[in-house]
Amino acid sequence: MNIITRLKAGEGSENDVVNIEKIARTMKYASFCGLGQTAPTALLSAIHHCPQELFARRGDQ
Amino acid sequence: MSKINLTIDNQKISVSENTTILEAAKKAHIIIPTLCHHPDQKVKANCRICLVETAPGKLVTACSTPVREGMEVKTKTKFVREIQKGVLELILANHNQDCLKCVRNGNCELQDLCEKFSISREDIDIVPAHDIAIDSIEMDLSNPSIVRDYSKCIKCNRCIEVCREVQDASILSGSFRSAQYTVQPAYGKKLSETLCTYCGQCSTVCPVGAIYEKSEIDDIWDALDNPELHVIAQIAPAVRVSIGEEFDYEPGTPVTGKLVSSLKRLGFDQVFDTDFTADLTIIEEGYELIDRIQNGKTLPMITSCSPGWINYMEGFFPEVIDHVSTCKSPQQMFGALSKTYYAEKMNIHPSKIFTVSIMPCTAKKFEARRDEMMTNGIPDVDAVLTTRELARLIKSAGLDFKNLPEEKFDEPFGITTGAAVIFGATGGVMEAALRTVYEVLTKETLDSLEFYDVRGMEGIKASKVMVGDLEVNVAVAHGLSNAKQLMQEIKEGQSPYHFIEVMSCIGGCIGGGGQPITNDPGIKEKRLSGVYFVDQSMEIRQSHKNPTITKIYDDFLGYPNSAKSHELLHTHYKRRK
Repeated sequence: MNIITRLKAGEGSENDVVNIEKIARTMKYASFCGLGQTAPTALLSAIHHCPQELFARRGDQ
Repeated sequence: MSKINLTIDNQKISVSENTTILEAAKKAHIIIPTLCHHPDQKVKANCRICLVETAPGKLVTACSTPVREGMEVKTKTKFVREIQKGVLELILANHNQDCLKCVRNGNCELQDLCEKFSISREDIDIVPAHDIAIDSIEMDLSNPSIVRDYSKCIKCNRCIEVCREVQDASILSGSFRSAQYTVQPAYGKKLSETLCTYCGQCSTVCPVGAIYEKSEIDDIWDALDNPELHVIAQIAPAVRVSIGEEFDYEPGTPVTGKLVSSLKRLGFDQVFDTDFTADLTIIEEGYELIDRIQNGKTLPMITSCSPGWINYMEGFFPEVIDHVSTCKSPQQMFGALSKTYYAEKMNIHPSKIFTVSIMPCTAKKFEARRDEMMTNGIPDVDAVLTTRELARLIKSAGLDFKNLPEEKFDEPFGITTGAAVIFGATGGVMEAALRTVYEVLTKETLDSLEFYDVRGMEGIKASKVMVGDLEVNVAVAHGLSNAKQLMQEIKEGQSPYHFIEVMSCIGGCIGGGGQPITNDPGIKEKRLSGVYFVDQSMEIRQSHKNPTITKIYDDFLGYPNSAKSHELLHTHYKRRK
C-alpha cells in the first residue's frame, strides 16, 4: 500500500515498480482463490503496458 | 489399489491413488519446501510455499494436490523458485526477525527455508525499512504457561487445528481478514481470560517462535546462585526418554544418568525422581479406587495426574468433578513432601527449600501456581522447567551432555519402580494401578505384569480385568477430544467403567506440550518404547513394593488415605469460568 501511495503521488522509484511487480506476480500465481489470482491483473497490466506513465508524474516534479 | 504413474523432475515414479504430489516427491527423494504442513495434521494449503509447476505457468500446492496419471511435475524451475521465494518474502515482510533473541533460533522452520532460498539482507530490504512495520497485536504474557508472540505468527493455522481437533478446546481461532488476519482467542481475549487448558500442544506444532513456554530459567539461575537456598530437583518420567533428542540421541533413548549428573553440575543440591511420588500416587489413588468400589461411592473414578486434563475438566466438564480422584499429581505430591517430610528430615526451614520440577508439560507451570498447591503459605513447587527449557539450560551452561558420566538419583526420593516410569506413557497410570490394586485386593502375585490392552496409540483403549471375583472395567483416553467422548458417557449416566485414565496430550506425557519440537511422525512411538524399555530394566516394577514408600507411610503418613495424606497429598477442584 505504501508503494502504491508513493506511485500515485508521483514519488515512486524504479525499485518500487520492481517490487510491486514482484508482489503482484507472487499474488497472481500463488493465491488460493480466484479473487487473489485476478486482483493483481490491473496492476500487472499497468506495469506491463505503460510503465512510463508510472514514472510520468515523477518527471513533472 | 491401482497405481498412478507420473513424472517428477523428469523422474518416473509410480504411487498409489490419493497420494499427494508432496508425498510422491518424498518417495522420489525430492524435498518440496513446506511450512503449514505437519505430519500429524490435515492438509491446509494456506502457506503456499509448496507450489510446484504442473504445466507451464500453472502452479498448484503440492501438499493438497493428488497425483494424476501422466502428470508432469516440476519442483524447481526458475518460475517455481521465483514464486516460492516471493511467498517467503511476503511472509517475512510481516515477521519479527529478531532471530538471535528468539527461543526457536536454530530450530525454526521459517529460518530453515530462508537458508534454503538463500534469503539475504538485500532480499528483505527490497521493501524499505520504513515500510516494514510489524503489524500485530500485543504479546500475551497473561498466564504462567504459554507466551504468544503475535509479531512472529505466520498464520499457518497449525495451532488452531491442534486446539480444535485434537484437544477440543477451540480456544484459538482466526480473526479478521486479509492482512489483518490474526490467530488469537475469540474477541481478542488474553489466554488467561479463556478456558485454555495450557496443554501447550500449540507450542509443539508452531513452526516458528510465536508460541512458547514462559521461561523460568532465570529464576533457576537466581536460586542456584543464592547460598541461602537449598535447591532440589525432581525429574518427571517422560523427560528421560525425550531430552536426548536435544543432544542428538536417537529418539526414545533413556538418558537418566546423564540427566542427573548434568543437574548436579548445574549446582542442584539434591536430584530426585518424580517417579517416587508417582509410586505414591498409585498407592493413594489405588486405595481411593478400592474404597470407592467397596463402599459404593462415585464411579467411574478418573485419574488426576495430568494438569491439562484437570484444566479441561474444570472448564468443560465440571459435572464430573466428583469422579476425579482427589490425589494431587506426582509433581505436587513431591512438592508437598519436599516442604514437609524432607524439610523435617533435613532440618531446613521450608522457606529455604527451592523445589524445581523438570516436566514434559506447560500446564504444570500453571498447576504449580494454583492456590490449592500451597502448604502453610509456601508453594509446594517453586519453579517448573519444561524438557525444552532444561535442554537450553544445559546447553547454555556449557555442559557436554553426551560425554558426562552417569549418576544415580539421590536418596530417599530416588528409589523408584517400573510402575512409576510408565506414568509417562498413555495407559501407564492405569497399568501401574492395576499392578498394585490386583495384588493388594487378591493378596496374590501377578503372573505377568504387562497389561497390553491399555498400551499403544489408539485414542480410547478399554479393557476388562478380573481382580479376584471382581470384574473391573477400565478405559484409557489420551488427547482431550478422546477424553470428551468418555466424559459425555459419564454425563449421560452411560459409562460402563470403574476406572478411567485421562492424559491431556496424545501419547501421554511423552507427547506433552513441553517436549522437544520435531516433525518426525514416529516420534511418539519411539518415546513410548523408551518408556517400556526403562520399565523392563527396573529391579522393582510395582509401586507397593517400593521400600521407600513403605518407609514414608511408617515414618510420616501413617497409612494410605490417612488424614495426613489427605492434608498433604490430596486436593479439590472447582468450576472454571
